[in-house]
Amino acid sequence: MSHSPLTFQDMILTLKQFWSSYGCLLVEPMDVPMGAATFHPATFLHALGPEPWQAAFEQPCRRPTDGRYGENPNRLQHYYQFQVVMKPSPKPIQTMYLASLEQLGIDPLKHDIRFVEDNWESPTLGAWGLGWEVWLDGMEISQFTYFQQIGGIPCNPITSEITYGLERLAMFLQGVDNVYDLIWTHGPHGDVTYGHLFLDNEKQYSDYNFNHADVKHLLYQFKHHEKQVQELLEKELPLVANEHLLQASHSFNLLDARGAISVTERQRMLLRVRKCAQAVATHYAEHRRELGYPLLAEGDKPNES
Amino acid sequence: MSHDFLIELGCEELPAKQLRSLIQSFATELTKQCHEFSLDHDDVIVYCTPRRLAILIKQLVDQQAPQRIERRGPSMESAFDESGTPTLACLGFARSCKTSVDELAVQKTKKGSWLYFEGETPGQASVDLLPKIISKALSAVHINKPMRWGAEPHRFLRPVQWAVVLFGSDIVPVSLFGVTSSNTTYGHRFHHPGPIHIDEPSQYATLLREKGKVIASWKKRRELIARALNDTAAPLGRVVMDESLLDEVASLVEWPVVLSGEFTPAFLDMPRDVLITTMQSHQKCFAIENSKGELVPSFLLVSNIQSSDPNTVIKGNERVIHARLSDAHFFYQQDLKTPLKDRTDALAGVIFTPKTGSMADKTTRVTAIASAFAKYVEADKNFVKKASELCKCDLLTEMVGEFPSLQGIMGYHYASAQGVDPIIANALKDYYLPKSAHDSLPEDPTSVCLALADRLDTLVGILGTEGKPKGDKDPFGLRRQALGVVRILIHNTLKQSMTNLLKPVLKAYQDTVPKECVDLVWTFIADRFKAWALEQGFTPQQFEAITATGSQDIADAYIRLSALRDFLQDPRSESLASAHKRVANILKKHSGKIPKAIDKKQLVMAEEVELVKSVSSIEETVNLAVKESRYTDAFTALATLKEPVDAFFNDVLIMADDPALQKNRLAIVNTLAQLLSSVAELSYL
Repeated sequence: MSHSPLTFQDMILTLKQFWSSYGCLLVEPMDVPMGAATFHPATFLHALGPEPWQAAFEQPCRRPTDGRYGENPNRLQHYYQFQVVMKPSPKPIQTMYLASLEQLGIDPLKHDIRFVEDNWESPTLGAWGLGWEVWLDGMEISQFTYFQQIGGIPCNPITSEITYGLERLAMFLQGVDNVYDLIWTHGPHGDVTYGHLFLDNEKQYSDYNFNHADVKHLLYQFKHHEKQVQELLEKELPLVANEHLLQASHSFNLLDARGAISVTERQRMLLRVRKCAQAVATHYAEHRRELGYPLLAEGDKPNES
Repeated sequence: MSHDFLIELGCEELPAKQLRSLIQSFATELTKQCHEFSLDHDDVIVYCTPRRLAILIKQLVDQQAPQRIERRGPSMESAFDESGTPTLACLGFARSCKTSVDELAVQKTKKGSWLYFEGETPGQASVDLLPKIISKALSAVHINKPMRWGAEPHRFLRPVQWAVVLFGSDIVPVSLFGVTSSNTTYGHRFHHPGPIHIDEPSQYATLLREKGKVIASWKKRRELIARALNDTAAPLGRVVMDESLLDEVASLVEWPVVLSGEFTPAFLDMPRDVLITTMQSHQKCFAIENSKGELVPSFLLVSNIQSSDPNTVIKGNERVIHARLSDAHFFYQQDLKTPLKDRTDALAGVIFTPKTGSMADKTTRVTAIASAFAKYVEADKNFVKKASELCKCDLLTEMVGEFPSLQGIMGYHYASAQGVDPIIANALKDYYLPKSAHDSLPEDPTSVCLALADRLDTLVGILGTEGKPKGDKDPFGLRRQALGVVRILIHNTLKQSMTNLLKPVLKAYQDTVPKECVDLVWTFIADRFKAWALEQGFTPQQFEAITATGSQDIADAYIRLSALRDFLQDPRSESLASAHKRVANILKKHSGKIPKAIDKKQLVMAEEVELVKSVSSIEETVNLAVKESRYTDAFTALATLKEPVDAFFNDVLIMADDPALQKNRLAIVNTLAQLLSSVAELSYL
């Protein structure tokens, strides 16, 4: 490469700039732990109902079981996703995505870029979609999904979701084999790496996830959040209920990492989270209807019967 | 006159595994519709790539042949009033048939008389019919998991981006999945993203190849890839060719370019299966072996681009392969640390099915069942027991968690590395055989016991709790499992009735499945047996002739079938079959009692004497041969009856007036019938 590769933060800035130019709202990450950006209300909830929606954001994600005490060069229990959701999915969405890669400095005539079938299903969200994983010289750098159903409700219109795995993409762009060697930015006092920022974090959290997370308390938390979801939905507060859904889900993930749940119990708990997710989705969809779909253009609004 | 017809649907990347069945089904439906509309044509050529489905129909006629029409109009009473003047209904019918009242005929039936029109209308122009033909064909195509996109109401396998529909050089105006037809296609996503105009359907493949950098024919791409794989591998060794992977990569690229990369030789200490699976299953790369059949630290990848810098593509893939192999290596080393038998307790945490319990429950049952089978195949009971206890343990290893297709294979490798007896280790792998309809079969007695026990346990457990799989849905692969049972029994000549084999299975399930399910299990397996036998070239009549006895011994039935097929080459078989049919008919018509023994004193005609003599002379030979399953010998003996039987039926009147003679002759017929059906019901043929 003739110019120096993008730093981690330049890469995020480039993506934000790029998608903003296509009319996406730049919303911010949510302040609740979650396993994937799909859980962010800007994806999960906004994919429901007839209102149009275009948003782009990065989201820190936590997968406690993926902790490796900072010893694995590719695996992290805390990492970043960059998410683009557009409803209805624009016809040239693939071309737009490819243009974003070019913006990042990836020459499509030099690299082998492929869309390989990979359908997405989230049993916890009662959601599924069809799409691809995107390969760059054999490496998966993004997930591309057309949502078909969320919380058990068929989507209409359809939302396209693009999820960039930022660490993988950055490793590719910067040509490093170890995630901790990524340059986050060229600071005034020298380069700041991903390792500087997160190596210690990975060590501490791996230890916590696998050894110290309080099982008794987590089990209580799980039940508590589950109960909250139901109670808050009865009070017609689906947004708040959703936050408790995310927390129930995170408690479950921590319990899983602690090896505190048997296979049968695991199945049962997943089913309980799913039930919550379906209830949240149903209530939220109804709530937006009652609000008269504020994001829908005047002419597109359904007539009151 | 006729012209070539082309339809191309440009799509976002279609799933590789459905690509070919989709285009085949589309082509079948399209030609079916052309036929229904009486549009003749020449060859039909299909093309498919990840981004397009296309069909070229050569020399499709411009015009439908004139169409015969038959229509029934109003009844005579309502067609004419009392004065015989045509009513409005009558005039309307004539008008709709584009004819006059005088030209209409009258159709008389028992129920009354109606106006009737029979005639010809000129055929329509193909260009006018094609939109209907296309939409009918597309709606008949079966799509597994269709999707919607944008705000469109349409459903297809992936979003449709463009549609080319050409008849000769004319665009057939039609809207498909929200796209308007045109004569514009697009080339390779990166090499030629711009439009390409097609003037004539026949130019399609050439234009795409020369301008678009797209090889439109799947078959041609597959050939090109296979050749390039061989050529690229040549300096290093030879490709470990996997036909289904080759199929898949041919469906993943439009412009294949094969490249080779390397990996750290240290990874070669892992089992070959692990290396190959790691390269193939996620990365779609091919392994390479040397002349001794050992893997070399290189791989082949099939890219979709004539890269301006192929080394970048290679380096990227090497990095991913390295990471994947590092993971596999880590799993392998971790897994080796835990002896397989130490994993048995954890099997209680893995569900087999909710109604049949955990994998630990399954293991207990399989152990009991396989041990009961040991005596049938002269297996060492101790080996069978130990192998059964270990047979599900590898499901808990990291490697199988990552690559489920390595189940059994990893059990074998880990058991071998941990010093388990080779016979047991081998059984852990071989009891999964056959994995598909034409896969090889287990032969070692220990493996055979386990293979049968595991399959019959699954069949009884699932058929007994869930019933028969419906339609395409067979999530446990019960049909495959049943076919496996059939083939294993036959291959190992394991002559046992299914009732017998299912006894220990029922016992192992205690009371958790209803006893009656054995009938369902038997009919389910018997169905597979029949389907398999037909595939082997046996006729339905031959199959029925063998199974009519109601025997549930599959291995024995197969030996009989083979003997029967050989016997049918003998010209004498035909007259014996018809004799058997005759005999069966006589006995069916006769309702009275028939004496068992033949009274020799009542034999009056020479032909009678001769037949009884022949029958008694071979009876023992036939019975002994049947007892020893030498069915060909039994048939050879039976064949000698041809002449006496023919003579008997020609000259002897069975239903003689003398009741004593009649009874005795019926006794002869009865004895003959029993003898003739001792191997097969020849009368069914």
